[in-house]
Amino acid sequence: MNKTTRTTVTSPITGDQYVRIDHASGLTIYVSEMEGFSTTEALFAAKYGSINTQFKTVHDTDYCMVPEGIAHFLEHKLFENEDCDVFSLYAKTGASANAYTSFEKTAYLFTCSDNYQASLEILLSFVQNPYFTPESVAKEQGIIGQEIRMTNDDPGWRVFFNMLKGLYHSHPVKIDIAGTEESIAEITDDLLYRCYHTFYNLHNMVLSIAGNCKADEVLEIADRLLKPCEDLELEMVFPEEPMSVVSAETIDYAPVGAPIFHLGIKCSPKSGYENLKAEMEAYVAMQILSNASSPLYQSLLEDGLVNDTFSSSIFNGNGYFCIIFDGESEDARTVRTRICDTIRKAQETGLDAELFDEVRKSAYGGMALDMSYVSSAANLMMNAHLNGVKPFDLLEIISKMTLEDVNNFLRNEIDPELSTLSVVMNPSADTGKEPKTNE
Amino acid sequence: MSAFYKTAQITDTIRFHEIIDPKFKTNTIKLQLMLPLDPKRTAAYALATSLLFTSTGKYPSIAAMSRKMNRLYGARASVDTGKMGDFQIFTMTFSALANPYALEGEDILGELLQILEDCLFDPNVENGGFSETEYNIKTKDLLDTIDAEINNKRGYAIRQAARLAYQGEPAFHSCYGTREDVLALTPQITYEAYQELLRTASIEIYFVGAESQPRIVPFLSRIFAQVQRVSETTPFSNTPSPLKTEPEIRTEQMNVAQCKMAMVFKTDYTDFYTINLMNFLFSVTPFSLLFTNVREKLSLCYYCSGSYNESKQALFVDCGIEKSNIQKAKDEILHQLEAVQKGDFSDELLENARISIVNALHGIGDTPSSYIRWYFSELTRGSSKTPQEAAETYQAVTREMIMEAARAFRLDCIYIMEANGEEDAVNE
Repeated sequence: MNKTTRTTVTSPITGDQYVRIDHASGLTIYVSEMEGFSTTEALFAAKYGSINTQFKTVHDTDYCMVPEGIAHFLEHKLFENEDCDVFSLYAKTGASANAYTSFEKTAYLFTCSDNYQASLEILLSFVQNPYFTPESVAKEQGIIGQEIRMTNDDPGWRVFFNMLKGLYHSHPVKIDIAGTEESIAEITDDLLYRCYHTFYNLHNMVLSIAGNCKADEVLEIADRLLKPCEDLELEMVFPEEPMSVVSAETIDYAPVGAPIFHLGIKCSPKSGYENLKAEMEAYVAMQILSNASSPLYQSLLEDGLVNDTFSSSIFNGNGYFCIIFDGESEDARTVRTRICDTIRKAQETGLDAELFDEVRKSAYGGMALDMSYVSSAANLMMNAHLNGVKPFDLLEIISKMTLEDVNNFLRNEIDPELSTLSVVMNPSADTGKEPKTNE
Repeated sequence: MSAFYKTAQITDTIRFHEIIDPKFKTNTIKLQLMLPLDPKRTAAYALATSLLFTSTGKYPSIAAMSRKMNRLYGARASVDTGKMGDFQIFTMTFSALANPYALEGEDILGELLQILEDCLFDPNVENGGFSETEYNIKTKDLLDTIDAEINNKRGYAIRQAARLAYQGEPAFHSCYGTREDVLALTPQITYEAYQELLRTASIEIYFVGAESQPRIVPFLSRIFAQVQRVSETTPFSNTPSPLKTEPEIRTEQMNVAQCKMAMVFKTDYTDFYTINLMNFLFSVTPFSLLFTNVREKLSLCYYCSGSYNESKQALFVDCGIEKSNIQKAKDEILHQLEAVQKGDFSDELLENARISIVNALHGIGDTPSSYIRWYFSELTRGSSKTPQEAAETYQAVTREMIMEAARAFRLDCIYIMEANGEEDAVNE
């Protein structure tokens, strides 16, 4: 068994601190003790999300394939103990508890201002004690079926996933996090146990806690409740993803006001620190080219092509990386042309140095506050660990970033030809009512 | 130094609230402008306030304004238009990194105050109205906001239920106005609305930062001296919505996969703290009667929860549901309300609801916005309790008080969004 080690890390830029504990059980724990704050937020997360549908451990000879949506299903079911619902346990401490599943992680969390140690005991206990039966799985299929129907009625969700389907041939990032009503019908209690024992291994998890808490107290609870795990040397596999898009455009129909669009540009995926650095370079480049201070944004507004919902973002993870422009427009095709022309021109001329300084300063202002609030601190530490970087790397990258770095990313990593446009509009706004895809 | 809260009067009708808490690294200034919701003026006020924040005389475009904010380490100046009961409310927020964290020693707060003054008193004006270019951009934004109401089906269903509940009352109307209202405006009419708003609205100003800033009160006194304010503004007040003689049910057909149902209950019971505790055990928490019975035991829907509109004394319960389960869910929601009315709930549930509220109260003050939300909501209910005092009030609420509060609720109306078919919307 390994020994527990403990390190205090201080940001040379902001002076913020956290404690990292590499626990003997295999779990990595981050604690940020925040003086003057009343609340505590704790996140206990597994590196397991909707994209992890094919995997194997040191004990398996072949890769195991599981139904789409099973990570999310497992998250729902873990909230039920053998004898009670987990919410009824938290009810006694007053904590507000929740959980969520994303593409690459499942997180269980609570926030509270009193009794954080009792709530932490509940969190560590229930996540380590699964209880699934055929009956409880069948009941959950009904509830999650309702959730799937609800998200299908969300035009923002549909336009986003239609974009991902237009960008990715085979990477499971294109799959809805909750799966489909058909795929969740294949889930059994046995499959849930298999996924649980594979991914909810402490070597594949992190505990992040911030606010009104003490590292010593957290460690004492961890020592008492964490069950040491064998490192299963988990391997994930993803189908090969070609660097091309599936379709140039997808139109879908739903009751909406103005048509909504997502324009996605596919880039090469990266991992760890390189992924974070590329993400920040892409972010700064897109802010310079398309945020509210840019000539592009002003001209799109003045020409009535977009409204104030227009924005850009970076969406990246294990095996995927894309830049997204989204908003509302009656003429998303022209918006696409303008964006792609702006990118091409900037690739030739380089980005404006003054705008670069301003955007970098603005980004610094935001990131300097990341450890200043309880929830953002807890989330920053969790996300950094699951993404294979350190919590203060983001601030370090933005501090050291040069205009040349960003121009290099823009020229070498972004190709407007690798783009897809997804639009959701009212059926009355077009003649057809079935989703259309233009290859 | 520990946190403290104090108030000062800027003018007879403008009040300043200072909340100092040394743990914060930002300075936040929030102005709450309130006036009775007048459907003839809502669109003009909504458009006018949005125009104040995207350009000024000094920064005459969205791009110029945005670049200035970027240079101030991503400072924020924004406005939200909302509705509280029969009042239209504009929340103007200015926030930025505090001076000690500036890399080059800039006086960020000084610049932020200057931006506040520019936004409120140096609008981007030409020919006696707002700049036409900016006016056209913000008009489109407002029209698209009105049209986009339908995008979020849950929010749309709740708003439709509110329209059904508040027929004939100011709260029936949207805080943005209608398309027709917006299209009837001009840059000049909108500019006049801006001037009228600054003259007539009740104004509460909040500052949250790590240190007291003696320059703010004189600054606010100076800038508001530029306005010929009316001698009396209409203070915010609750306006309970009258109960219909018979519950009204309105069904709207829509091309959706999941039906929505929103039920509205009204009350003449006025003790907010008792109602809030009752609602926590009835519909708010994940251990509430609705969550445990409607969702968990009967698996009828993914969500089923309630929220209380204090200013209209109306409780909204909404759920997303299969068409075939609508009646079953409705019956169960009514059954659970009846259970609270009869006291058919455990002491444990009551205590857990109380612990949950008190826990949340103890967390107020961990963000600037939580401080402001708390003190503003206390002010609008005519109270001035601290979170600790409110916690003590909740401790004194008894089972009998909960039952009495629950018994005062009556079903007023139900809005149902049904999957597929013809439309029968509640139009303004």
